Amino acid sequence: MSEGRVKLSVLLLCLAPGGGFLLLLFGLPLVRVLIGSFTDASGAFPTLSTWQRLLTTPVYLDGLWYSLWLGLAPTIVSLLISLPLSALMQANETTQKLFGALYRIPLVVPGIVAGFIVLVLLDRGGTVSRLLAPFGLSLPRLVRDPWGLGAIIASSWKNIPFMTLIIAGSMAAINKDVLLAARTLGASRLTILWRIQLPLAKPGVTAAVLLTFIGSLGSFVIPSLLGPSYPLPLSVHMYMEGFQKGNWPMVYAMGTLLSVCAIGVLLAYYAVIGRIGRTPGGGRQRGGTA
Amino acid sequence: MSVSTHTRRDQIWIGAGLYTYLGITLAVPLLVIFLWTIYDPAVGWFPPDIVPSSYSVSAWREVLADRQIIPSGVLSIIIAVIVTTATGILAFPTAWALAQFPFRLKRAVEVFVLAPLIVPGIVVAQGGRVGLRDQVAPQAIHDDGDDAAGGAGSVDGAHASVPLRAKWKMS
Repeated sequence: MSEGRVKLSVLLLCLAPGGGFLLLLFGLPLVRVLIGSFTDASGAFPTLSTWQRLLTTPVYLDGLWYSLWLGLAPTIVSLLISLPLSALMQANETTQKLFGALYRIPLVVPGIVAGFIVLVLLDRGGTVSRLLAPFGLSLPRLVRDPWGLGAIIASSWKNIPFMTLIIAGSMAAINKDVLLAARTLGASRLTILWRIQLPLAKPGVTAAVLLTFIGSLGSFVIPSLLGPSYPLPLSVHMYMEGFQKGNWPMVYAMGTLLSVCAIGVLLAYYAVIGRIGRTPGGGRQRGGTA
Repeated sequence: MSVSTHTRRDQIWIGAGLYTYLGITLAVPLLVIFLWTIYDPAVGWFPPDIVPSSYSVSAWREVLADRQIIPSGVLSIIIAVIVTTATGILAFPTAWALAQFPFRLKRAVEVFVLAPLIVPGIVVAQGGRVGLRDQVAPQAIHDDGDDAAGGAGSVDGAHASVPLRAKWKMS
């Protein structure tokens, strides 16, 4: 057997277990979802009627926008907190280890507990409003409010450690000599952050943003616990359509739509990463493998 | 001490800031959650009380008296270990092959391997319904939709063994 053939066999052998597993338990169900979206409640196939209903019914369209909002808002909030947190973690060496272990705790706290935390702290009559009451202050409505602020806070609470983990990891990988050289040459700390640390950590930052957005886009427990009764995100609509109305074609169409949104974001991500690779100073690294 | 871009004094301030952040976002919420587990349900815990006026371990006693809890917890941990091991066994050869061999369609394989991260969990859970009985699927959505912790997260659903079996099947 030629060397090329041996290599090919080894390659296929290595890819078979993981790839086969994914094909069977991820690829096939996904195809099933896609095909299912082109049926209707009576079982007719192929038909566009389910898609037509999904894309013309205001309740569902509001659901789509709301899903995108609940994906986007926690991502922005998490990024605004994770970036300084990651940078400060690099700066502080003495407390880094203990802090590095403690800040990850929300990662292992289930979503429903995160929702419950927001409920007992920030709902009307919750701990924070009890603390503010003696000063004559009151919290705005944060639970079941139209903007989903409670859901955004709970989702961010869970996502900040995740983002920080990835971003701080990318920042820690930057050679410290570069930072020290910049400091010696008179760069301020903000300049170092803005001109060196952020550009070099960009692949990590974009990967973290992408994964947080997609995770929040399909989240189910947090919006159903803390979100308003209208609009509902598509994930909650999927549950209701499926398990309460038995309308599975609609569930499949909604699932496909959510996936299309996520894939759209991914393609945008690759476009951004590709551009980073071409700009000077943005090391050609591959993101997304985090 | 290794060389740093920040002075010792700055580092103390940064450390203080980081731990203040941790106190507000983590310690306080977890403490309040804990207080909710030991307030006295017979008396209640109403505004303006910041801490409960009366404490009770009745909730804990109830939880620990439930004979399902410990086996469910153990089962959750076993499942988490199996899932982690199985994931490692499946992922390692794939990762090695991707790192070792340059081949055509490499990018496509990479995207496919990462796709489960990209497609929202709830969609995968819906697809996974194929072959699952309908009554076990809702828990699968709960677990896969929101659970970054994966297998270990099913501890929260441990009151009933049915969801755990669903998790088992899904995995």
